[in-house]
Amino acid sequence: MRFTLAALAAAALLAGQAASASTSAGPRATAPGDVGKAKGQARATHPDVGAAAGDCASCHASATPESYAAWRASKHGLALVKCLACHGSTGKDFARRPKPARCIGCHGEQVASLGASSTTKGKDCFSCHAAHALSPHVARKDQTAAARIGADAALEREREAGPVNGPAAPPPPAATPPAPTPTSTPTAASTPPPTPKPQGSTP
Amino acid sequence: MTVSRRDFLKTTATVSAFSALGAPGRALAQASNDGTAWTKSVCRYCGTGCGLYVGTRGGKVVAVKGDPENHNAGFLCVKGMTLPQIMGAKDRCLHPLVKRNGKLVQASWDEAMGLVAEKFHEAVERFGPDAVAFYGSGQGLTEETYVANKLFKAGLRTNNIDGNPRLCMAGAVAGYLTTFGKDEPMGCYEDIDAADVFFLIGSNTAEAHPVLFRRILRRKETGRNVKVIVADPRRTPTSRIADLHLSFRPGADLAVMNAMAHVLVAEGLVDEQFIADHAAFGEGTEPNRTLAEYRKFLEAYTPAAAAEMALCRADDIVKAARWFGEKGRTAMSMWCMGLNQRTKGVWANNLVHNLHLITGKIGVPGSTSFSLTGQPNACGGVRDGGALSHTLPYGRLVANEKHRAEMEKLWGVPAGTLAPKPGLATVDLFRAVEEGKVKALYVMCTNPGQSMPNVSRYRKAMARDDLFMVVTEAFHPTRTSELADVVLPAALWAEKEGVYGCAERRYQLLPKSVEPAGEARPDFDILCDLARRLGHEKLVPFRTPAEAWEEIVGCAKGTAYDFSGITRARLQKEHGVLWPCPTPDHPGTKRRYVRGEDPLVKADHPKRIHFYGRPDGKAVVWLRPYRPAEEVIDAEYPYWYTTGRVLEQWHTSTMTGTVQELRNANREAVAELHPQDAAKVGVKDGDRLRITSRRGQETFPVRVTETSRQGLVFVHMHDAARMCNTLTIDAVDPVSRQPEFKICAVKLEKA
Repeated sequence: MRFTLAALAAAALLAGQAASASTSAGPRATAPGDVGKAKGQARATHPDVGAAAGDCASCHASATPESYAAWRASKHGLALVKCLACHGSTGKDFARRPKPARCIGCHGEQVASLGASSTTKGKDCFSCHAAHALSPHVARKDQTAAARIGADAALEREREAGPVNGPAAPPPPAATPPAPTPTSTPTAASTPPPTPKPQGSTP
Repeated sequence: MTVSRRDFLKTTATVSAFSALGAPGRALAQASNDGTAWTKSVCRYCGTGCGLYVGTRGGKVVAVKGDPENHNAGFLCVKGMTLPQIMGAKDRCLHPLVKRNGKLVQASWDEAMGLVAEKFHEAVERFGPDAVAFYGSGQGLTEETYVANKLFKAGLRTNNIDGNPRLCMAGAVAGYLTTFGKDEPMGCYEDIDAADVFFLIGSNTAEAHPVLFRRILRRKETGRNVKVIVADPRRTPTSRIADLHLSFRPGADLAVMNAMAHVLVAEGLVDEQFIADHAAFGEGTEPNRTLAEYRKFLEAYTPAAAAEMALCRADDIVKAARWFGEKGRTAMSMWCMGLNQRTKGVWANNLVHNLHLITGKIGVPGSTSFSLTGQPNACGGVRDGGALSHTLPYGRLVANEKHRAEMEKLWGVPAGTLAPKPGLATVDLFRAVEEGKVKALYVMCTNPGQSMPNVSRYRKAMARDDLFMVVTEAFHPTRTSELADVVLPAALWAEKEGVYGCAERRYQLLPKSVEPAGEARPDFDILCDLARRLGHEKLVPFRTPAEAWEEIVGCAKGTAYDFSGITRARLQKEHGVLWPCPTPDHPGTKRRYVRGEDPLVKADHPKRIHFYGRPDGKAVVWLRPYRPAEEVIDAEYPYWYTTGRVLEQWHTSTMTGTVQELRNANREAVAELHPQDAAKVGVKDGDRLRITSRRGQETFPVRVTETSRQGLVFVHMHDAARMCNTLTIDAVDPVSRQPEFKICAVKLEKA
């Protein structure tokens, strides 16, 4: 069952704009894209997507491309700490600006130290760590984690070099040597001994 | 007893406010002022075995946080951090269920257990010991698996006890055994921090072992000129950090690795002295070859020839070999199901070890041959504990008379009690069920009704009228419990106590933090109850898992596993200990076979390394020729089919499927197809794709992506509604008996 991408993307796009607008100004009241009931203080929500094929990025890569790109190039993006880790679920459990409590799974010590010094008094994680990029506040702030380790470079080179696949079909029959091109120079390696008798296969 | 997400969030908020007061990390195990208590434990999911603290309040698990003093340095993945929600899931199995008139209905524990005992007793009486069987799990606690193993092998006197590690780790076990003479990796996670080159093959580490992937990522960021080679037909998220993504035709990895060895030998990147001191060469099952013969064997595997077999670039093979072999740099290999779940899985494991042995890149920090594990206690419970059909505890074999005699003595049973004939390995076991030879089957903490290869065949077997099947499970219905005659509600994770042993030989304790849900009981108690009802209370007299642990430690004493120093008290205090660890003051062993580190290598051993598992002290470099997969593509079934993990779901998703956040992410399995193949088949993103193999047919939503190699369709393995295993092949490796989940041939149509 696939959720209605268009409707969701539209809502998400608006919520995303609100989120990026609010990164320096702190949490905003109800974002224009809010859907569903806001209980207590007004807050952004996300329509419930239910059980889904695909993940948040299935929509948000195009719906909120800046946030997605910043996340993808961050340590969280590389290590697959995906949207749900911070923003929670959809529906009423969605948090546009996650509370520090959400971070204790991995950053218990840091969350515990919030407010302990004058630097962090009255602040939350995102006061210093830019949303989605979550850049470190000390060294090499100007460079993404992905850039620092040269992520995706090999894949880019691979794309440029083009596919190395042979035709998907028709392939060589099972009993013949595995070399895909019968005209190739025969070598000992391309003509290994015949496949051993199948063992334990389905009758 | 359920915990809503709202409770969970509320608690984490109060907790974090509180923890600002205490010293971080050190004070984590104490109670907080809102009544939340923190208990040191271990994650329930994969074989990484991340340490965490379980936060409980009012008898409920309300939060988790990573243990900064454990190997994971406080980090958890998205599955681990949402663990509290599995405890109160709607489909928790809360009461014993017994089948009446074709329907599972609630029953008392006494009635259900009475029925189980009666059926097992009757089966043994009427048809002999081998008419009963136990199918266990790499997720059971060590003490649970130990009790089952003892009850079935020494009590009921059948070796028909196997477990799902047969489906994931058997190839790695046989690989380590054939090469080094002893099972389990010699290295540890800390090697990641010192590795200059990573060779990842058959592993999507980023999604399957995210916390270890993070550690590799950190090494790549902080180390100098660290290279990552990812050898995988798919372009997975793991290959994002690759310096080289070596994509090849499924099943051709044997050719690729032999070609890497060819380059290492041809370019003088081998360590002649190490080979002379520590390596033997062999073909078949004996170390009957020489280095010269190995060189000759490799001649055929030129990069060009291998590239033709593997449909990859010869240059990439050369590059990978040169990086791996560069003198003065360390190299660490890691692999997982891509190598193990194959009919030539043992050989593939041997070929990884070969690369390390010929270059001498083994047994120093950063150089090791490391098998990743899928389940949290496949290593500790089933592999080490000897709970497979051919094994006995701690490196002993059923077929070995001396080993049987040792176990008979340790278990206090008369000589000749243990049957000398190995029992049935998983696929053979379910075939025996199919043939009506097994009359009573006990399934603990696993889901073969979804996870067996060619699953329809074995679902039919499990549904046989003349089979009595009891399933102990924390959740119901699962695709297995729905076929059961009795379902027993099992306590889950933080509801019970026991030991887990993860991929790096690290043993850790999971204490009980909360009472079991409903009427659920720990599997340990259920098995001890069954033993009493079957008249084997003397064999299993344990009142607590801690009592069993004392006996378990005794079984390992004097073996290569010796963990006499890993006492219960030490497990409670420390954040995991790596065996061997023979005395209470021993720190544990990071690197086996290394003088000065491994207590089994004598302090005055003349060489730095001693492979004591082999009679001559030398590890074996095996001559293993390239062989294709059991089933290869042809004109009728022209696409390769492979299956695997996705980050947010785990195994058959009985647990992850109950978590709100994870339900929103990749809950439904998709089929990933390369854009060119999608065009050929005539499907686009979101369409439905009918996939047919010689064994069955299933329909999946399509994701068109370059992740998939051309000619290859990849399907998620977790979805209970669309089971990828309807299509997979149940051919097995002749040595390890592990099935080839990873490769078969299919045809594709738009549905």
